[in-house]
Amino acid sequence: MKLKTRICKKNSIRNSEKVEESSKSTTNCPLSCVDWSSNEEIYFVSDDHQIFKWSDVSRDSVEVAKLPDDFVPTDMHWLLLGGRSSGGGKGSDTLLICSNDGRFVILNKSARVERSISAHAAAISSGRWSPDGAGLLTAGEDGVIKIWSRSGMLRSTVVQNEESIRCARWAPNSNSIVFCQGGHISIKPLAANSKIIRWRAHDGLVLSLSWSTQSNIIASGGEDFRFKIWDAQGANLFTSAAEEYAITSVAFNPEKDYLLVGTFNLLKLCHSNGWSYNTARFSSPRVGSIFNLSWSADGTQATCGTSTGQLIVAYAIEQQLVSGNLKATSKSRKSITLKDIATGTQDILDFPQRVVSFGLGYGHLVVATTNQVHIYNEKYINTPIIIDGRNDTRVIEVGKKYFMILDALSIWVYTYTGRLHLNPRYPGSQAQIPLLTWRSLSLGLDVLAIRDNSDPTVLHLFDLIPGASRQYDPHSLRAKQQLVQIAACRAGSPEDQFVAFIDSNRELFVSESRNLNSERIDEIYKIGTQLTAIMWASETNILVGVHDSCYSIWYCPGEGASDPTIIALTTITLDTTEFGKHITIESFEESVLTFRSAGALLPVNVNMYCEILHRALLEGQWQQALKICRMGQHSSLWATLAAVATRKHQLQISEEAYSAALQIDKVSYLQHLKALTPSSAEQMAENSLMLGRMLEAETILLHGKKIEQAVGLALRMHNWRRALEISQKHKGEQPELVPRVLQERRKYLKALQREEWDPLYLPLVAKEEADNTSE
Amino acid sequence: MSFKDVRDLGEHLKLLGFPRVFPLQSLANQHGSLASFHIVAELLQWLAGLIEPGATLPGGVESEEQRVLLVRSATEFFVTKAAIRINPRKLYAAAAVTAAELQKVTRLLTSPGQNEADNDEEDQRDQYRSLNPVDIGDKIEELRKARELATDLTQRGTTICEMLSKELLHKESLMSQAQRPLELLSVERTLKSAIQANQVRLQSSRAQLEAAKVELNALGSKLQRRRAELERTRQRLEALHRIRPAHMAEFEDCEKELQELFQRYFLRLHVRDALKSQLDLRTKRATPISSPILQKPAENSMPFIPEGLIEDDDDDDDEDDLDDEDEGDDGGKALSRLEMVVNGRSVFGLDSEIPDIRDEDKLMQQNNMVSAQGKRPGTATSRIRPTTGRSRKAVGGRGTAGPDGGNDARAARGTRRGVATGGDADGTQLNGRNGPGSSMLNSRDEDSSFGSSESELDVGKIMGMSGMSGMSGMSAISGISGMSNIALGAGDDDFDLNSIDDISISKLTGELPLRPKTANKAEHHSDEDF
Repeated sequence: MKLKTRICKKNSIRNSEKVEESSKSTTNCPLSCVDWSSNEEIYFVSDDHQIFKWSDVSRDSVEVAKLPDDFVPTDMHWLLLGGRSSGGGKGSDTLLICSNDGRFVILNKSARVERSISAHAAAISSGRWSPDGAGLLTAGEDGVIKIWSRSGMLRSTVVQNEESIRCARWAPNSNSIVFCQGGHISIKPLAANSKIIRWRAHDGLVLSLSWSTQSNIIASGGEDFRFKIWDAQGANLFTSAAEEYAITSVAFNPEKDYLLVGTFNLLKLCHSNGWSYNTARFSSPRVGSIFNLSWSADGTQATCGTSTGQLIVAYAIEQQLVSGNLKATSKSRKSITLKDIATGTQDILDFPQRVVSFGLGYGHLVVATTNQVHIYNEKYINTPIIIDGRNDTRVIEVGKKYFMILDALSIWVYTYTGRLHLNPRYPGSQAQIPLLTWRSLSLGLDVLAIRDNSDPTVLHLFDLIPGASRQYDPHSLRAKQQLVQIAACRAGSPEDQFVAFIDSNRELFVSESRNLNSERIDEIYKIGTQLTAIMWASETNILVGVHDSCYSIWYCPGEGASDPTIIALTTITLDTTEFGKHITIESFEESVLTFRSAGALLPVNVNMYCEILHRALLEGQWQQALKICRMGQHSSLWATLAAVATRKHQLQISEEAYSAALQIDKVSYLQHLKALTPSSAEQMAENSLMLGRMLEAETILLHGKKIEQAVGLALRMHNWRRALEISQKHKGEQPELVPRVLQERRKYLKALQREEWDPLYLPLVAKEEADNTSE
Repeated sequence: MSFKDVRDLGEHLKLLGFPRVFPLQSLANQHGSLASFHIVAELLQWLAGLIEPGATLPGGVESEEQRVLLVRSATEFFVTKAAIRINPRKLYAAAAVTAAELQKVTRLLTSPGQNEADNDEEDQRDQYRSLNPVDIGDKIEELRKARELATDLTQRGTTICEMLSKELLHKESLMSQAQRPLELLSVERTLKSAIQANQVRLQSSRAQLEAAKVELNALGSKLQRRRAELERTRQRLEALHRIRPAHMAEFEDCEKELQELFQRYFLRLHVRDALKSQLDLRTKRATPISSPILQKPAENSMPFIPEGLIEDDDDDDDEDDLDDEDEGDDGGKALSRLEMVVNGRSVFGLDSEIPDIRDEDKLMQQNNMVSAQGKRPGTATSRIRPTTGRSRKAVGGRGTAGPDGGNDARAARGTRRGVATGGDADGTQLNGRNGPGSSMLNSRDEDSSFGSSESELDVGKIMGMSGMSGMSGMSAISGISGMSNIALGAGDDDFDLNSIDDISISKLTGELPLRPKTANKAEHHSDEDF
């Protein structure tokens, strides 16, 4: 990852400045207000009170408007209501400019002043539109933060203090405000009766803040030459080494895990964890400190305002994706190099427009430019498939059969032939499109999982099987806590599709994503704690997760989720102290797991036998699977085989597997199963019980007209109400069931040494006593 | 008045290469502190070093007086060296308002470099623009050359055609003229006329030469007669030098009496100045703020005494050479001017306290103007000497304004005081002239035989004028307060030396007829002063 920078010349500015030079002696004013109005246009205001627009098409600056001479701008922000469209923005876009004397103005797209409000008694240091577009905040050096409506009406005074506020930013969900005073950072929730969180952040002044929209972390740059990363509760996640000068600006990328840091004559591109990708140093000409940083809406380019008045545009290039034998590297803004190490070929792909994002996987390269999507197959590089009309692609997810694109309008699922497969919709989906990130989406083999942004505890699951009846009607899964990360499994058979997610308590849950039965009962099992990232393997149903100082591999997370013993047997936990801190999962291709820690790639092999075992089981080769387990002789292998065999009703194989895994109770139960009639209702029901599906077992027995066995099952499970209901329902057919239930109930009560308390049983007991008395 | 000023100041310091880290926290508040002032003090020293390498501002940060001195010296430095007006009160605050004041200095220091960068870019653009016109100009020139060549070719072709057609007509004339025989008679006549013309020109040249020789002889004879007259005049002058004038012993007696009267007058002036200085001291204690201003002139008055002593040494050298009257006069005038400058500097301190004296200074200044105008048409010598004196006054005035001028208003005020100083010096000189005038009139009335002969009358008047000039120098010395011993010694020496010089002057300049007019005007001024 590299950072390519260019200092833009201000051609038309000098023409106007020549006129001003006769009246003023200084011509280089600091440039502290820059922002993108679209992906091709930058608006900037410097201390000479003029609003300029720089266009990427003409590479030139044009004067847009002129502010009053007593209006010294301090901050500037665009409200883009058109979903960050790159077509130039809609007419309802508004521009907010704050000044040094406590005023702010709101201008529309044609640079006409709509409102001019005197907001603060001192200079306004920050003015920001809220991410949901409902209002704006202004923070002043008089220690006050106010929230205004979009039309400029004062809604509330959030913070009232004596110390001057240097910087203030919205939370991504518009429910909190983070601001800095002196060396302290505070987070003020907007909900009533919520306490403020305040901590000392830097040894000097805190000069800049940024709150990430897709990872909910906060970056701060201070006068002590360091930038730090915090979570939303104020815990320090990263502290950088000391630079030569104070850190004057930080900005998170809105789409990817990048952080841009600006200081004196230096611009640094970092990861969200804090380690550095690249450093751009400006020696000649010297540009001074970077006062303001602004990413474009698509997250591919940034603009910088400097203290010497120069405008800098920076592009992130040299992004690299690796998948199997393919490696894709973006060499410049409009070209990608695709290298195949198997055949030794290298192709340079040139595009007519700027490359916004690209995805690589399963032998395909999907490249999104500003208006098109190009699909390359590794076998047919020369003939890409082009899809027109996809503006502002933000997220590309590559699956085994389909790939998914999230752009400014909607979510699209395509096949690799370029055909639109599905346009998923759920209640409120169109309103949430601008707020979705790559953490909210996950594309599996036949499932697309989307986290609801308005209610983060809801997970929408779309079925991608062609012709499925529920394709346009998603199933909603509800968790107890807010979901932080989602992962749908990328491989497996159509019956074994699972989705895993981490909630806000950092606990890992697994659930089935597809259910072929008519009645669906969601079972969510917890299989891990203290996780930060998860990823499924590309070809098998193996899940890997990263904890704080170790990582775990679940070899059978979906099939064995209902049995804690199986989960314990099939989970391997390994230490990561030697890897370093802040480990993330880069890729999980077949049996090679690649971590990334501080920029270094660390490939790790998972158990080869488990991977091969999964492939054999996927194809139904049971004898081959047995051979692999006997060869490997590892308990996790046997446990995996046992779980899958039980699920597939392979009683002989599961008995052998459980014996090898030393599960004696399960072996004896399986022997009981084998004693029953093969393929009968009783055996099927007992097998469901083995898998923990009690309701399913009861249903099987009732459908098979085995009323006596069903009542027996309920009695064994001590489900007294259900037993009585079934026996009374079928009283005409088998009248002896009710006395049996009553007899068992009496034995139960005698063992407990209690009287009858159940209101359902009391009338029957009273009736029985009356009969005895009459006799 | 906000964090933006502090941040911009920090940026300017980074761009200029400030060696230490400038903490924004120190100035980013509305209330200053001693720690902030330490940083401001360091910044002021460093910025002063940038504007003028090697410059160091006096003052420090230990005590309030030193801090005040640092702020004031910094303010004066930036006003004089860089024409930047800084509010000292905001500097002393060492808070957010200080950043705005310091930015005035840093903005000046940062803008030239950036302007140079912009100029380079403009030059490159101009070069790029000039390339295109040059290319187009070259092509245009080629086009013009081609067009001119085409036109020229057409015209020449036409001319050749016309000439060839005319040749047929002129061919017969050409043949007839070529074969015509020459006439010998006409040729002979032409040659004779040419010879006669040349002879006439030769005769006129010879006549001019004869006339020039005659003029040369006449000029030679005139020169010999003038040379003989000069020799006779020189012999007559030498004879007059040997004669001692009559009544010389009587003149010497009157001079001794005059010296005693002058010593009494000098003592009175000394006592008056002492009393005046005591009165000023009492007034000075009531206003302690102005004491630094008064200390500076007092300190500055010391270096001028050695210069006066040096001039005395020059007079001793002149005493050996009695014939060098011009050098002697110049030495005396220079000494009196220097002493007047010293007098003006000390009087300047006094005038700053008592406003009433300004009115007297103005009146004296007006009288000075009248006397100056009277001097100029008097003698050629008097025209040269006032010019030298005025240049010295101007230098003194600037010196006075420099250390005191903290801002433009104070500089203007100092300049006005310098002008007043000049007035004082001239006024003192007028006062010095009045005494000898009156004494001369008295002596003239008592002795009627003093004006009987023409030569005796001239000598007497010349001796009176010399005495007045000497007394004016001694009266200037009396202006020094607190230096009575040195002043008295200097006065005595000057008086004796001047009398000797006057004797030699009277011998040499006996025949100058312009002296009586000067004496008459002196009498006129004495009446006005009294």
